[in-house]
Amino acid sequence: MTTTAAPTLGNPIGNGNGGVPSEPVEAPQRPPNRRGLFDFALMSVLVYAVYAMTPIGAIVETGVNVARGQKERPSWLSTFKGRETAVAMSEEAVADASAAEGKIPLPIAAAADKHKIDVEALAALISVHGACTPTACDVETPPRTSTVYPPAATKARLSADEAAAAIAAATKEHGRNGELAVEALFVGSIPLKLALEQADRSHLDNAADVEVHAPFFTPSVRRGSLQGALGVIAVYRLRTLAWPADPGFRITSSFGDRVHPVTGKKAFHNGTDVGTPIGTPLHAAHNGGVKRQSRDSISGNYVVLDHGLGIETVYCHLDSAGVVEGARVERKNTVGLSGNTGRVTGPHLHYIVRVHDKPIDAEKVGESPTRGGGLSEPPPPPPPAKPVEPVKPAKAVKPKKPKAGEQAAVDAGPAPPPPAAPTPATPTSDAQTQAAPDQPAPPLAPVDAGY
Amino acid sequence: MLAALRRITWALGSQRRLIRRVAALCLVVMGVHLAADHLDDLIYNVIDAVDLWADDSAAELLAWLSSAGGMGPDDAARASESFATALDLAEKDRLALWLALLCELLLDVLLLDLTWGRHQDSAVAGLFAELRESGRAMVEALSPLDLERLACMPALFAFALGGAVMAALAVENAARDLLGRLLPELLWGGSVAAALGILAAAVLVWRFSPDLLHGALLRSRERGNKAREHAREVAEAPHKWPRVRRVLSLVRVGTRGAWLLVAALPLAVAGLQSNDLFALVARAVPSP
Repeated sequence: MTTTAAPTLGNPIGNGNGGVPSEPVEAPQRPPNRRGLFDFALMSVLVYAVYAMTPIGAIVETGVNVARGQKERPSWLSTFKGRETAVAMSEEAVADASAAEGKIPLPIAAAADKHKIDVEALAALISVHGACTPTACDVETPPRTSTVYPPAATKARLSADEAAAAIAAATKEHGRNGELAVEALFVGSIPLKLALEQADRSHLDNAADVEVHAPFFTPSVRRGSLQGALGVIAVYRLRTLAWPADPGFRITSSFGDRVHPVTGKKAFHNGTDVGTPIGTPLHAAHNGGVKRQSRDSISGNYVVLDHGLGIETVYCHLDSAGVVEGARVERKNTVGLSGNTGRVTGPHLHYIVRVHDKPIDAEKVGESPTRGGGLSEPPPPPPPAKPVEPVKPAKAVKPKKPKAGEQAAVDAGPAPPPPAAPTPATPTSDAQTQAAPDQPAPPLAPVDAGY
Repeated sequence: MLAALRRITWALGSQRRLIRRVAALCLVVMGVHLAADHLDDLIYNVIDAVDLWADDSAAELLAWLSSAGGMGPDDAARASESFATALDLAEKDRLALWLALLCELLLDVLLLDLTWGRHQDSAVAGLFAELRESGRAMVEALSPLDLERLACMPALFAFALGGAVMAALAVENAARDLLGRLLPELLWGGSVAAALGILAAAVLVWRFSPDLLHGALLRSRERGNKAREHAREVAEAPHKWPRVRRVLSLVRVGTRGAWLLVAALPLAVAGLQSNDLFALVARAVPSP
């Protein structure tokens, strides 16, 4: 307990010396403190915690690196919640989204079919840790595979068939989803069960989510074997992203360089425009949390979903958002209705997939119509053709209000890729979009002027 | 061996003020960081609202300019476009984070003096005598009460509690790691680790928060007295408008510490509302 001699402070109020003791008092002789070592140990723990868990640690580390002439600069923002994953995952593991692109090789499809597992889980595992030839695929054996699939104990590499068998065994044991099966191969069955149990007992929602239960692994597991699983799970999530609108809606402007519809200059388009009429329900690409639900003059009403492991999807120009910030959404839940808010030349969805804040081409991953749709569940047949409503002028674009007839002039972007399904739009709840079936859709190609 | 340990303990014990001050500073710094996490979202919402207002205003102004013939519609559209895209979603996100970090560092600096505190040893010995002496000094230091003295103890205590929660999580992680290595089959390892985390938080609060609060209050009294003395000197000094000068100095003295009451204390309480602590308690309960 503290030991302060109040009399030494003198009369502090209005005594003319500001309450500061004018002269030192006699130094008291105190008995030695027997808890000095204990206090020192506690202080050391706290100093380390400040170093590891606050930006001050990163700032100090930056200073040390600068003084030593090293180039590494730790992120000063990484200790903020929501910006750090609960697990330390290297950005390169996910940033290489190319692992999530492309069709499923035949050996993988055959093995997944044989063992009745999610083909995308096997494809993610092999694309990250393995290799394929036209006739065979194999993968480096994940470190704890033998805990769920004993035959893997003596093998350095597994064939696609063996990997599929291991995933099937893990799925049987952990049941909930393909992510847990992949995780079990890397961290082991018992640590995974214990972590899930701890997360459940902490009353955490979505305990099966790796980011939720990862803090309950031991740090050595988090820093070690879990890292191998994270890259696979991230790629698996990218491979299973649902397309936010019915695949029948035409993609009106693709990701990448294009001629800007307003400025007429070449500009980078950071998302994919889908020609959805006003009022079309839009779906969450994956399970996740609503990171932002807001509005601005460029994106209009927008929703940002955080799917974990650095993956985010953004839905812009919504007529109205159907979710609130902080809410949890499941895959294919409605996140809002398509609209023409913000800086647009017509109603459409501007859809962005971001990996560690870098936009990637949404058409190349998941169940996008151009990639061939969901590989584990085929896309529904396109609905009968309905015309969309006449294009409304953009709400926020005051200086220039293009009319429907001016769309061709305004939409100077690159030609959209050939649609996977017929162009017509689905009927929406908006009465203005209802029309006789089989009527061809008007030649709309609404794009946004904001991106 | 024992004698050496005793010598080390006593040597460290002679530096207990320094050790406790550094420890209390660490607790407060961690508590401030916990609170800054909540600040991030708040700042983002403010930036978002300001950005929307600025974009809309700029678009309206440019539309008016365009309609008045001041500039061509294409130029207006381009200008409006570039103005609006200057601050996009990702930029707003990053800006909010940096501002939250700036606020956190500013709070750390502002709280440094109070956290370091004012301590002087007394000659009294014995736990109860020390407690009595300390209590008497603290009650005396509360008079006359000002905003800073009113708010410094609850604010610093809330920050220290937040820091203890963060430290508890760190201890829980370390303990779980250790138990996982030594007793991998122990099913209650997680509960034991969580209990150790709670114990660590309790010990930290017990060892360091009394000194923190005591020192902060006495330091606050010292600061208050200095501020009053300075105000008196300023008021007595010749000036063109002496009354205005006096009123200003009185306002300045009267509002000292208002930032603690209106900003730091609510922020500290918001940080404490994090469900980390409750989740930690739930994890400590062994499963049936």
